[in-house]
Amino acid sequence: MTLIKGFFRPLCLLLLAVCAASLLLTQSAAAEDPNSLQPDSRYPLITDRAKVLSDKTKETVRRQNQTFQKSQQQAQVGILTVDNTDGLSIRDFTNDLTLRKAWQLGSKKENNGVLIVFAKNNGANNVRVVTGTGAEAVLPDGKIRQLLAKYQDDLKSNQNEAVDRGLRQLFQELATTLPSSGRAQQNQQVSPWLIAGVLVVLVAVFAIWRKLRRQYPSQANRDGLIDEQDQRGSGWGPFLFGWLLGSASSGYSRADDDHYFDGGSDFDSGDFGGSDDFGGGDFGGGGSDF
Amino acid sequence: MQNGTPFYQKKGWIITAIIGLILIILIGSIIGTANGLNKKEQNVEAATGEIQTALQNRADLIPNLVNAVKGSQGQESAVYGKIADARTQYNQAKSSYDQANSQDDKTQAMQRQDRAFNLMVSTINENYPNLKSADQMQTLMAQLEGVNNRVTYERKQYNQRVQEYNNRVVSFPSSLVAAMTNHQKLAYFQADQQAQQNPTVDFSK
Repeated sequence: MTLIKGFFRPLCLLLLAVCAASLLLTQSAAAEDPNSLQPDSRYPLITDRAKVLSDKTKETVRRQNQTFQKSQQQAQVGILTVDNTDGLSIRDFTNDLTLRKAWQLGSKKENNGVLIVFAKNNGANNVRVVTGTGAEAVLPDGKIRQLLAKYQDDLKSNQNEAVDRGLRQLFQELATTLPSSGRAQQNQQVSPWLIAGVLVVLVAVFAIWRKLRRQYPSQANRDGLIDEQDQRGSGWGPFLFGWLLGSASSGYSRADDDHYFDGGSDFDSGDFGGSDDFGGGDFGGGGSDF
Repeated sequence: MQNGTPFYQKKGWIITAIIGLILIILIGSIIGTANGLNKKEQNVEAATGEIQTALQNRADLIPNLVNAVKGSQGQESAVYGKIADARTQYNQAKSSYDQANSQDDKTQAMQRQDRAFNLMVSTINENYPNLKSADQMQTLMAQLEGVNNRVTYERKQYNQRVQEYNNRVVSFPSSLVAAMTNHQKLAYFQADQQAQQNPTVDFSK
């Protein structure tokens, strides 16, 4: 017994160390892989992995997105910078990134998000601007190409300050083109949590009612036979009721999942987004780059 | 034992009840799985619609390209003939998409649309090799790249949906339900091989 105990603690520590090490290693190795890249945890709209953005640019981005958030359209413009796209063209890199739905800018309904992707790529300074389907109307591909050409000297420069200035000016041009008026509306949707809460309350009420009927039997229950039958029934009833309801509502599932016997509904994390989070809008492959 | 105990404590009743419960759970699971399969199939169909939209938007740019060609020096008559042929192929593929009965037929029709478009573009590119560098063409080139990318993007997304669906169809235990409800694997949307081998088809390269 003591022998096992003696091994146990160092074994645990070793396991912990291995886990920590592998976590650190995978973090750094997967840094520029579009299939595993994650937005910045504190402020996802600015993910500056290549460390090219100045504080002034970041402040500009933050303030503009705050203005957007107060508006009716709820657009968003984000920036992502990476050192290297690992041999992929910036277009393919961005495609893989947005296909994963890890960056979801703009309002979920309008899909009016815009993402600027900058990759150093050993001096090539590739820039791609991706637009959600809702932003394409005011920012068609041709216009984006013109904007990129306008700030080409800054963006393709090998001076960090010039690149930073180019990105900031590009950001401002894109932001002013997006509509931003009116005032934000309150979220009126019925949350899935509400429905779940109501169901739980119903089942609880059902169970309590059964229990009460047992405790205070009417005249008809006095002979004991029906009493015990109730006792049996109250065990299965709520379970079956809840389970069949879950089965029937399997069509409600919103997110993709790998469950084979799919009986429940999934909840959207977008219901709890804060002011710094993504709005949930989608991209459709539109945009331009150079 | 037989006289004194109430019926629900008898062995027969208990066994029947348990079997009944298992049956209910099983049927519920089967229904749930079948619904899941249908939902994945609907996702595939929705993605098909998206690709078709992207293909159509892309083909709509061809008149712009042809107009741009009109002003340049090149093999005009030969080009127009070939473009007309490719356009006919495209329209035929489009109508077979509209008349398609199964998902795989639709995928095949869209692949033919893709190929016909690439044929049009490569014809233009071969005969007007300097077209893409002309100043007034820059906006049109950006638009072409954009629509090309949309088709690529929607194609990738479609293939993702097909993969999700196919996974359910072949993996145990949902494969049992798939066999029962006649759900079969779907074909992927293959990128045009010619476009991948022949870089002149894509104006951006």
